[in-house]
Amino acid sequence: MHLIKYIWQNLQIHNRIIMEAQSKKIVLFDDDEDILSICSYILSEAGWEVHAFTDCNNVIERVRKIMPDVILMDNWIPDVGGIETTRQLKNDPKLKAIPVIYFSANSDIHELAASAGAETYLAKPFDLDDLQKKVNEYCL
Amino acid sequence: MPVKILLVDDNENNLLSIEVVLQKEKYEFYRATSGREALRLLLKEEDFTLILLDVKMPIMDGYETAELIYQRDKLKNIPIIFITAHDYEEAAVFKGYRAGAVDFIRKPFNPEILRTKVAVFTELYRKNRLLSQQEEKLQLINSELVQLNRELEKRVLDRTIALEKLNIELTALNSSKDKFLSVISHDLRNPLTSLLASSAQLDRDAEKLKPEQIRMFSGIINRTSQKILNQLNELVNWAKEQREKPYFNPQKFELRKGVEESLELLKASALQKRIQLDNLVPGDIYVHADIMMFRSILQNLVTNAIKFTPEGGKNVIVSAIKKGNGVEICVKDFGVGMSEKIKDVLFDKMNSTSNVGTNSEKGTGLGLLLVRDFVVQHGGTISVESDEQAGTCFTFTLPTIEN
Repeated sequence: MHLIKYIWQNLQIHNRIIMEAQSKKIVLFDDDEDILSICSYILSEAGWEVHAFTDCNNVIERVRKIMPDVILMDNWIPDVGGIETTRQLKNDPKLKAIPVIYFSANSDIHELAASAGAETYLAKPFDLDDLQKKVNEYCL
Repeated sequence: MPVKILLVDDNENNLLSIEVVLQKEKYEFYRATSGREALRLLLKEEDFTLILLDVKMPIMDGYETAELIYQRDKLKNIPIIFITAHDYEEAAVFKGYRAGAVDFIRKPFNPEILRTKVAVFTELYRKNRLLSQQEEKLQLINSELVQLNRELEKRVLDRTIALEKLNIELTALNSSKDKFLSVISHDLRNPLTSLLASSAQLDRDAEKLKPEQIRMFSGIINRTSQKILNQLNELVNWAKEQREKPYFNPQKFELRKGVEESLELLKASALQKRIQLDNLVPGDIYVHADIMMFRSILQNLVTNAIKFTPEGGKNVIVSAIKKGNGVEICVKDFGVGMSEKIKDVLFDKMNSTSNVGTNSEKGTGLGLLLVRDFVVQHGGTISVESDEQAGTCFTFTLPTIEN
């Protein structure tokens, strides 16, 4: 009985390690916690390892610890906003290759994304499929 | 204007005979029997048209007299016809012209020639006079034109400066309208993101969702709907305000009293965070301002000050100093302050972020824009000083008025 339990536990750990090794990582930045919850749910369900933040303080340090495959960046993220945060990421030698998807309800999202130096953008509100499609497309 | 002719001859008979010959032509004659007398007359009387000057005279001959006449600036332009009794040679004629003669008449003179020559020079003199009168007139007109032109240029310059100033104001107004539109469209669209995504999720996966997941999505839908409703109400109120007070209506009021009234409405929210509001405005300052806009400015700034002061933190202070024709009003807190970056993008359209307060208070980001617009409408300026962890001080100016 103990042995079965031991094997079962080990199997679970083993499975998790395999899962984690396989799943891709995404970092979400948004000051709206509801939006973060929804996006986290959708992407977790799709097998992503999700890290969500409501501000962009110490952004380089935090993102370097995770080393995600893709980043979703809100425009109105405290303290300095999405444009400045994206620029900081794009100036970091270790992080600049990670694709940034600019994420905003602003009408001029296209220009905002361009001036931030983001690879692409996703307008709010978005379709459920659009979010998955976009992150899959930009995750190499 | 009479035509004045000076006749100079040492022989009175000659003078008489010239007069007789010219009489009909109605000239005004002046007589002199010597060069000296001629000079005296010329200095006494003005505006001679012509001088008939005998060459051969005792003491001072005609040439010497002409030389002395032409030494005077005033007399330089009077034509002289020399009258000479003897037949003279080329050398004498040359001497005469050098002395300034315009013509010669020989004695005994032919009356017709004398009359004709005098008539020609009289006519010439008249025309010259007319010409110089017209020139004077022209110069007068010209200087008037120069003056008019100068005034016109000044008016154009003044108008241009005024237009440029207006243009700057309009551009600022326009960009702030753009900003309002962009903030409003963002603020309405953003919560719809949660609403649409949550409802879509429920719609698609209703059967396989766990109860706590259903609770999460329905909770989001409920919260977000409430948020959208609040924002719509805010927007409707704002639009109503815009319509109800389209005119800027400044009036005189005591600054201290105005500040007191505005702070009264904020005491409750300050109390909630155990923060005291201090009105340190001196009692003798009167401002010329729109009272509704003034309240809106002050309430926005003080609300911000409360928002960024920690619970139980130091007092928020409103103070004022008179400066020239205006007053500098300062709203100071000792709260969390701002980083240089936030300070830089505070009034910027592209980067506008709404920052969360020390008790997670939220804002729309519209407040400071309204404040700036209102201050600018009063011809004032607004500036901010802030240090992280030391607090923030917003300073704006308003025009003052004597009591």
